[in-house]
Parts: sequence; structure tokens; C-alpha cells
Amino acid sequence: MAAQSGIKIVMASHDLGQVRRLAGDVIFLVRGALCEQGPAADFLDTRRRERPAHSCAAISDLILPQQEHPMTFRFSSFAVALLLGASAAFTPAVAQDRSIVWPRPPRPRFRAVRLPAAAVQAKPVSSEGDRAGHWQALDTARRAMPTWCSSTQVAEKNSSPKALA
Amino acid sequence: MGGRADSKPVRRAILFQRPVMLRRTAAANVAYALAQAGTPRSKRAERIAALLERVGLADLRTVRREIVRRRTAAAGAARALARDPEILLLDEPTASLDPAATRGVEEIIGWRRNPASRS
Repeated sequence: MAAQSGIKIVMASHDLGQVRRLAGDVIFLVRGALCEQGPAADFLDTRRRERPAHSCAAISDLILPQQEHPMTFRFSSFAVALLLGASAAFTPAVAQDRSIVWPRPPRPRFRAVRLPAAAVQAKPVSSEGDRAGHWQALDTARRAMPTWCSSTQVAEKNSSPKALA
Repeated sequence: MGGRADSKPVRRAILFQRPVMLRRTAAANVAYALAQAGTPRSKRAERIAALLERVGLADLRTVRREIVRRRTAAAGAARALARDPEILLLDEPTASLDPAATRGVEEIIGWRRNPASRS
């Protein structure tokens, strides 16, 4: 409701099911560094092997497939920030996705992953750990927002979903 | 809101993972937020009713200390929306909630349940 009423919502989440349900656009952060940004559907549907082998190819190492279910992927050491536009909150692709399971599947058990040191160009997580990470996620998302998601882009996306693909 | 470079601090709102609520009724919590946002006193009652209705807490409007754990997120959302924000920052508002409460929050945020999807 809030999204429909024109409020720009920036949300940190670790829950990919929730990302699928809510997000219009995703800003994917690993240890505070901006790794990927784009429409949520693109982000979620990109399989590991299809991700470009740029500096954050290590994302694929962070996404842990569990039980072969697309929704039980688990990220570690990162935060995903979601952008919910007033009108871009629900893309047809997401709305028609019947693989959405509710209530969400049980949380997979956390597994630690060792990051290749050179793979992620980012500052190490501060001593405040996760909390600082969340703040950084929200702040990065907020700063990235105006330049990235302009009203014209949203309008284009609504009129022709594949225009930006 | 797309394209807006920035917004006034008074038009930003944050909802934390565990919102700290005043030990008062949900209505009093929202009233406090409205006061902080500079809403004229004469308009507050109307706004409180609308906001609590919006987050599904209309029944708890006058019940003191009834903001139980799973309703805290909804009350916090009402308080955040009281500022009539342009930007709403959410820090994992559903992280410690059960699925039903999570759904409540998601509905407040903007998720519309797709009838075609499995329940």
C-alpha cells in the first residue's frame, strides 16, 4: 500500500522470497560494496553461471544453493537493498511467478563461506558487523537511487517491460 | 518519487528491525510521531485513525500496552508513515517475525497477494 501511494521504499533484506514478492529493483551489496543493480526479476532469474565474470563474480560463491529450490538460496555476509517504486513495485514477471511459496520455506541453516580476498573490492566489515552492514546497505541504496531510477525510466519500464532489458 | 535527488529530513522515515515503541497505546505512538512531524493538533485525530486503519491496527487504537511483539512492526509502520514520507527506509522489518506477521508487514509495504500464486 505504501509503495502504491508514491513512497519510495528502500529496504534491506536477506530473504530472497521477500525480494521476489516486494522488490521492483534490487541493489545487491557484498560487504558494503555495490555489486549489482537492476530489476529484481533480472537479478533473481540470473543463474550463477550466467553472471558476468567481473569483479563480483564471487557473488556466485556467496549464493548457496540449498535443496535445489530456487527460493532457498541463502546469501551470507551481505545485504540486499530493495527499491519499491510507486508504480514499479510489481513487474508482471514477478506477479505471475507461481513459484512464489507462501509462507516462506524454512530458513536454511547458515553456512559460512570463505571469500576470495581479491574477489570483493570492499572495505572489511566493521566491528559492528551486521548492523553496520545494514546501515551501509540502506545508505548506499539511497545514494544510488536518484541517478539510477529516474521517473522516466520507471515510465518506460511500465509501458514496455522489455525496453530496458 | 523516482528522480527526486533528495528529500527533506522530515519527509524521511525509518523502520528498524525492532522498533522501539513508547509504552503507550498504538494511537499515542502515532500521535507522538505526528507531533514530531509538526502536524497541527486539530488534524492529528483524523490522521491517527487513518494510519492505524491502514496498518490494520484500528481495533487496538485505544488499548493500552497492547502492542504485542508481532503487532509492533505494524505499529512502527504506522508511526513511520505518520511523517508522510517520501522515502521510507526499512531495515529488515520482518526478520524476527513469524510468517503471518511478515505478510502483514509486506501488505503494509506494498505487496499485493497474487491470487494465482499458491498460498
